[in-house]
Amino acid sequence: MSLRGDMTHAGMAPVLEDAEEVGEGLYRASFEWTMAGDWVITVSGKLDDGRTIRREFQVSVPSGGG
Amino acid sequence: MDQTARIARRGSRPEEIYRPPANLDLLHLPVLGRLLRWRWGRLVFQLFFLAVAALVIYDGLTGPQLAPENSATVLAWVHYRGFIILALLLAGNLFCFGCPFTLPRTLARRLSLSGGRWPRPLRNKWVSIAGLFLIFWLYEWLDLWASPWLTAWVAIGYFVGSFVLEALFAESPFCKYVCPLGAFNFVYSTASPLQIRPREAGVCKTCVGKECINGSASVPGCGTELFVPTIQSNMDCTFCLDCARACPYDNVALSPRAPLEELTHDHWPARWDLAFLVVGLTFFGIANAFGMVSPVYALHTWMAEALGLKSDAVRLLLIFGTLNIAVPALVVFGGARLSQVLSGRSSRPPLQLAGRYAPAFVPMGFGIWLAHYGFHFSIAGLAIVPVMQSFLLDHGILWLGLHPDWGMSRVLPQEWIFPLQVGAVLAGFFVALYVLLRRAIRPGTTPAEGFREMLPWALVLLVITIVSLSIFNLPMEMRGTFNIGAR
Repeated sequence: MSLRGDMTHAGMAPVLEDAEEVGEGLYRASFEWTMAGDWVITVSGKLDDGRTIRREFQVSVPSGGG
Repeated sequence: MDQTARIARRGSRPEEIYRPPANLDLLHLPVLGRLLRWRWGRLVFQLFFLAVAALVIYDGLTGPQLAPENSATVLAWVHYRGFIILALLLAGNLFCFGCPFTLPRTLARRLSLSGGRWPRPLRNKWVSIAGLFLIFWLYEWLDLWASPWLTAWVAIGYFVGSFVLEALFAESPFCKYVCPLGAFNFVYSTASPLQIRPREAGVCKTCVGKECINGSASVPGCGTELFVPTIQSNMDCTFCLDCARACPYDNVALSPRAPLEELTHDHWPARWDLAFLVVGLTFFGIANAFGMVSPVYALHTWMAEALGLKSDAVRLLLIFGTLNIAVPALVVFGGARLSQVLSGRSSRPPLQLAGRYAPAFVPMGFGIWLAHYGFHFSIAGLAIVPVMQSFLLDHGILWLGLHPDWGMSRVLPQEWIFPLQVGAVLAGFFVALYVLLRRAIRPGTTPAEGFREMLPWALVLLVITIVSLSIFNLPMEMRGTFNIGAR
């Protein structure tokens, strides 16, 4: 399972992280918000049966971290 | 009559004309000069930018719609803006020189139906100012920076606008009176180090055909109708070099000039539209940077809650209307009136005073835009590499490898960027003060009168500097708009 964080604005390098399985269906990843603003997080992975999954969700990171 | 003129009158072939040694002339450098003067020289550069524009349109319409992964948004909002500001600082109006939007010009002219003149009431910069306001408002409202698809349509709109105006009118009104990009480039090219000028003024005096403006059999004359021997400004000069190619005497030079020559001399026209454009662009720069720091989101939220303005478009219209129209208008008209009151016995009409001191806003605005666009270019100048790797891979081309290096982005170390931004703004401020002083202290005016006259403008520049530094000191956000109005 891997995570890719892109800012919605052009011109920022994405943050790429692999997630570690910590339980059944549970994954944990450390992720650094390199700048405040709007992010699109894409989670992708491969299931046991070979299918791939991909989900996107949006996060707005306020100034001062969060 | 000098020897040049005598020979020119006898109708000698151009290569026989005596010409004294000229200052450095880029058009006569060994390789570059020949390329620039070559009939198709501009076309080479235009075709390069046309290829870039075609990529922006194609990838914008068909590629991934996440802005950092698409060449349309990266090229338009990171590289184009970084390129123009650096080009204007180091050379001149290089984008207008290579502008792909005017490529269909020849076809448009052949299709020309009426060949009429651009309406006289619009022969000024007010349409450009309205265009700038529109594009900056659309940029924020429609989140153009986040949409490859809309970015592609902006490029298409430029091609269509340029083509239609070229087809309908005999001159090039799109460049001179309409294009927002051109207006930006014209203003800041007044601080650029290069300028078109005649190699030998005497040749122009005896020239009959005035091909630089009228055109020759094979080369069009100046599209924006500038006459080379009278050019004292880069304003309205697209650097197309048609004048140089059309001149039968090879008498047009592209030469370096003294730093700030144009901003400090007395030839700046006293026109409200020009004064407003120059001052307004400085405030556009502030508003554009303000759109990327957290207080703007607090302002949006307050306007939504306290004023009941649920529409993002209306809130932005109010914010930009205030920052980009009302405040610059107050500065231009109020500053001119205050100058008049303070200057005492040497007082001049407000229009003359606005024309006299508006040029000081060129370096101020330049510093702010350099700080902002330089920021984006510094943190993302290399982002185009993985974007192009990804683009090629999507099309089955392996030239740039199998794995995009998404880690590539920064051009400069992060810790350099803020000091450089501060340096750009402060440099803009101090150069602006120097321009003010040079324009205030002049024959027929005592230093005290000149100082009083420039005082309102100096105070405005000081406030602009403080506000700009405050904005750049805030952590810049790559927008935080998902939650606006919902907080």
